[in-house]
Amino acid sequence: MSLYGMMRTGVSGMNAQANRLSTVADNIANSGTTGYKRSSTEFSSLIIPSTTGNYTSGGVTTTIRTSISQQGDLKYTSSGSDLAINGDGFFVVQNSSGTPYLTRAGSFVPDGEGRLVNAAGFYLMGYSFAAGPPSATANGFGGLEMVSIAQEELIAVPSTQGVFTANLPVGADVVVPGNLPSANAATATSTQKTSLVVYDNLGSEVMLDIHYAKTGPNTWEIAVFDQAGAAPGAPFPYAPGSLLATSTLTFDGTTGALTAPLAGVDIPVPNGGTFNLDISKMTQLGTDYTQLKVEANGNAPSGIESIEIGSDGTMYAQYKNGSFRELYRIPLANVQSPDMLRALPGNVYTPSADSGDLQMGFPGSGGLGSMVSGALENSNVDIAEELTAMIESQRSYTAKSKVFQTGADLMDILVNLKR
Amino acid sequence: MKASPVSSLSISQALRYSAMRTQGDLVKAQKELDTGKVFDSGLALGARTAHTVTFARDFDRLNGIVDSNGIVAARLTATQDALSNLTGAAQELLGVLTASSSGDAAASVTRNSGRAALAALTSILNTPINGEYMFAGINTDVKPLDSFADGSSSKVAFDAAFLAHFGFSQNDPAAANITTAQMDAFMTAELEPQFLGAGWQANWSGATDQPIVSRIALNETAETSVSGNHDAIRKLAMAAAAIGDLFDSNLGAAGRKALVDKMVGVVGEAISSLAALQSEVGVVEQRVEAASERMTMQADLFERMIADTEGVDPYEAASRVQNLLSQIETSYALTARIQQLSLLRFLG
Amino acid sequence: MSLSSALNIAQSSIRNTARQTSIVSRNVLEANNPDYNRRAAVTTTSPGARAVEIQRAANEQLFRQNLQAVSAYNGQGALSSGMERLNLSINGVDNATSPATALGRLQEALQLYSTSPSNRNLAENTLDAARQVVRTLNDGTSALQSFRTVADQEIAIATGELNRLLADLEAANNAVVSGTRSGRDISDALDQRDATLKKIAEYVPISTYTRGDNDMVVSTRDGSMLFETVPRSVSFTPNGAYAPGTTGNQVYIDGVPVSLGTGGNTDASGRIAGMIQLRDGVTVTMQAQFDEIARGLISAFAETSPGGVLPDAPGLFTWLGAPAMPATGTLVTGLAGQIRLNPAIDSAQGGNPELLRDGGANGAGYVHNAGGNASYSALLLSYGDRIAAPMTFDPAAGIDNSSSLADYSTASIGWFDALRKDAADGANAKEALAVRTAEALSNETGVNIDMEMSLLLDLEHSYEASSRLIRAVDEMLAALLNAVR
Repeated sequence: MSLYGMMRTGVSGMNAQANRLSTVADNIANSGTTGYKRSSTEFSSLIIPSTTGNYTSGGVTTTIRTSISQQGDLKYTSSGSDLAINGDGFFVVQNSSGTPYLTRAGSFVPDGEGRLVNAAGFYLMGYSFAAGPPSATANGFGGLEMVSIAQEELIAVPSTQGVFTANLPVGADVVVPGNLPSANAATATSTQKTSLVVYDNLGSEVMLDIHYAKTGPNTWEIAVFDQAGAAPGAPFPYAPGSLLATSTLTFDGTTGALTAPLAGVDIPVPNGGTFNLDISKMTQLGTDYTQLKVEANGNAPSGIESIEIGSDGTMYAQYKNGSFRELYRIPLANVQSPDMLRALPGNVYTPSADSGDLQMGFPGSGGLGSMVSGALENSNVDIAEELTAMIESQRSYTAKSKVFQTGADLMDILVNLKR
Repeated sequence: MKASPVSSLSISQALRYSAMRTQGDLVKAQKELDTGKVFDSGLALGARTAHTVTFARDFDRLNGIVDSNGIVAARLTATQDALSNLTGAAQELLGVLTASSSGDAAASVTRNSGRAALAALTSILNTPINGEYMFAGINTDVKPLDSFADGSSSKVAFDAAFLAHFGFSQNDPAAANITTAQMDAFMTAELEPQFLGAGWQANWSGATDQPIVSRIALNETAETSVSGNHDAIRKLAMAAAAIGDLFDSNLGAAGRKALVDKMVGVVGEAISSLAALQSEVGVVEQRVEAASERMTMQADLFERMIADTEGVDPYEAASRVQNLLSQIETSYALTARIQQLSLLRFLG
Repeated sequence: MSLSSALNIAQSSIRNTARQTSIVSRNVLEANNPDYNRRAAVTTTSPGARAVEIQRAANEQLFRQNLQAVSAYNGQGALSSGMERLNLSINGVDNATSPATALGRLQEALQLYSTSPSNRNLAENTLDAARQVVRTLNDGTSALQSFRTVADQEIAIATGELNRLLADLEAANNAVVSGTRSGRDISDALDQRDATLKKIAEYVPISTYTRGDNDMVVSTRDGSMLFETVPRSVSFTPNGAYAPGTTGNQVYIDGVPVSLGTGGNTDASGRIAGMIQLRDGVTVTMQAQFDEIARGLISAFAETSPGGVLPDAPGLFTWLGAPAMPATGTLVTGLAGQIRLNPAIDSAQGGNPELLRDGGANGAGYVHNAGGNASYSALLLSYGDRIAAPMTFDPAAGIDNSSSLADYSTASIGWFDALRKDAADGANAKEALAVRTAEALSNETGVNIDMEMSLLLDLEHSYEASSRLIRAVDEMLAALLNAVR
């Protein structure tokens, strides 16, 4: 035992409290920082071996903990590119020199090149849909690229499939063969006529005129024309070559259901692909003509109007014509022990030896949280807690200084023994 | 999510709509009260409008015929009067002729009575009514009877007939020797064809045989005039003309006797014929009167039917106006109260 | 949980309340907009109590019913108001200017004249009545045809308007579809689309079908496509002018012609079909009846030659085909516009009115009163008889084909008024239905201000509570800060 030892013990205690106050200061300073995780101090005793009757005071060592796995409150914003994670996981970002990091700070905005960058200047990473739906690389940053919304301006998708479901009236008059739509005479008539918009390879709208004409008790003719060739006013006769497809529909006399052709009608779209019109649900019943379903895929080219990000991390481009297309899928990364990640400036973390291996996955899968668009994660600092910690530290520091002072007083007495 | 059972908009609109409809109805009811007829008969009656239009038209037509029957009746009355005047003249002539045949009257008296009868006949037949000569048949713008005077076609024809039969004129001294038989032969062969045959139309009359035909009811026509070519008039004219002319000539006593004897019979026939004619005219008068009466009744019936189909009971209309007024007042009062019924008034 | 998160939650509660209040105030603002559907701001529990999802009150069934009622009412209303206009311009108030009334006058004048055939004044009077008949027929024909021209122009305007509305629908539909795909609040776009649909339903009856992403497909009730991704063209070429017998052009919707309605309580739905019914149905039949009345007049007043030596020829009334007679029992289209007084009789054209009494407008061979007797009434009486005698009319004109001319002319009024009554009754009933369904729809989807106000009270309470909470947390923090010295 020694007075010096006791005084040093007091100093180590004061140092420990100073550390604690430093974290409190940091926490209070960053209480409004998006994605900030509070730091805290943990103390452990340092004991010097002593013999019976002789106690040698040790000291206290400080360990800094960062509460990375503790989620902050979500704060909603009006920007769709603000992202928050509800649950476990981190965004993968990289700095301008290309080093990847993890972060929960999701206040992304597009920069001049369309890349999404957060307040600390890190770029959001994601998997591109350019080569089909992506899958996450299990444990690395391979395949990730910077998310950019400036590309893919104009996109056209030719129509390939459609559905047309309607009821054809069983009581309709039979059209004589010479006047069938497929004959395309000036006197041609159809029992019912409708039209459908499809898109060719370049995304131009092609209007298909679909004529139905009753040919017999349970048979109808379907004839599909390109409306561009229609005569003004009354459609017939169409210009030569306008007839795209024709087929005979056969209905079951008892149930009124279509018996052939169940595979649909293949229509070669001018300047486009083959458009398969599914008519298998057509019926022939004793009621009026009723359209039940009219659908065709494909879309015309148009620019990106806005960006939407789904809770599964899929980023969609919404085009001006209202159609959607997936651009990227934003993955989440996680480690075994998030609290052991190494914190770096700008609320980013990098895996350390203690944190365990990196795992990649998509939001909402494999224990990862979901992505919330239009929200930010507040810092998880609680001012009240920090303030109480501060008071506690202050008192503790005072106590330790008293210990030191006592040591110093005793030292004084000792020194004064020798006159 | 279901909002609320009643929306503010539908409250105010329902009030507005009902007030609007009631006001529209009020205008109609007011008009119906004023006119006593439905507001728009076409809308109220639909296809039955055709009936009221037909009724109204037939009503007007019937009244038109009743009016025109007045003209017809006036004509018939005038004809009747004329015929009785003619009968009077004929009777006077007959009296003188009867006296003359028994030798009681002087030749000059007989001659004058003949002339007077002819003058009366001519003047009665030639009297126009409403600008029409009513005895002219349908040729009403021409005087039916030529005057029997020197130089007139009737006088010339008469003289020519005499001359042709006897070979001398009536004023020739030889006329004094004409026997009864000769005179009878003359009267049968010349005088009668002159008046009762084709000579009448040629020399005497401008009238047509055809009388005026008038519609006296919707589907009834009647002969509403007497032609101057009627036998009675011809006979009277024959007697008066022959007496008036031949009694002024050199005809001998035998001839005069034969003439008078014959003419007494002719005038008698004319009188009875006139009586028959008068009764015929009377029958037509009665038909016209009956037709008018019938049509007036029919018109009344039509009027009633029109009133039945498109008329409105004034009491009913009045009470409807009253009802609508109070309804509108209630609606206004309700609107005011409902508009006040708002939570806002209770939220300080 | 911590004080900070308590503060956070109270903050988000205030934000939600503000948002809900803005919805309430929007509801109140639009309370009198019939196309506005009430919104409800519903709070949902998502992490951190996010707010507020906007739900729009809607009732598909009632909306469709309302669309249908609106179409039916507009078709019926177009027909009914058109028939009112026709009634006034052709038959006049109380049928005063109808051919039937003029014919009645002519009959009366003829009767009076036949009583005093020598009276030249009455002859002139009869001619005047006849002139009136001709005028009603000629004026009626030109009024009918100008009515058709106007209807044609109205159809052109309506089709133009319909095309414009379909373009509006495309814009509204695109807003709905893209909003649905991106999860935005599409209430405004839906309101706009519903309002446009209501307006379209005024012109044509529609049925709708909603496919993925709230994308709407609109077709007419008989199945012609109106809108699918893009609007289909509604084409119509108006005729410059109409004459009797002119066929109006069809209105094509996506190449399919719009059919005209039939009957007074018409099956025409939508204004366009109603106007086509007026243009190609009612007026055409009416013209045919006028033509038949004109033909009846010409044949009733035809001159015959005594003994039947010469063929009959037009007498008092003549036409372009004179001296031939129009064929018996066959409609001559446009005859009512051609009928004229015979110049040989019409004193205004230098003719001799007494030829009516005597015959001979077509030459000496037709003289009946050879003697020129002033009170010759036989011909006049026979004309009167012929007006009242049965004759054969063309069934194509839509009235019982054997009746007298006089009855035919009133039957024409009866036919018209029956149609008009049906049309007006139908319009009343269909208006009531349209109003009623609109009311039901409004009750279902509209705003009740009282309810919004009571909601506002709730919101006030919640706002007050949240702000109280914030103050409490603030006081607690202040107490803590005071402790730090």
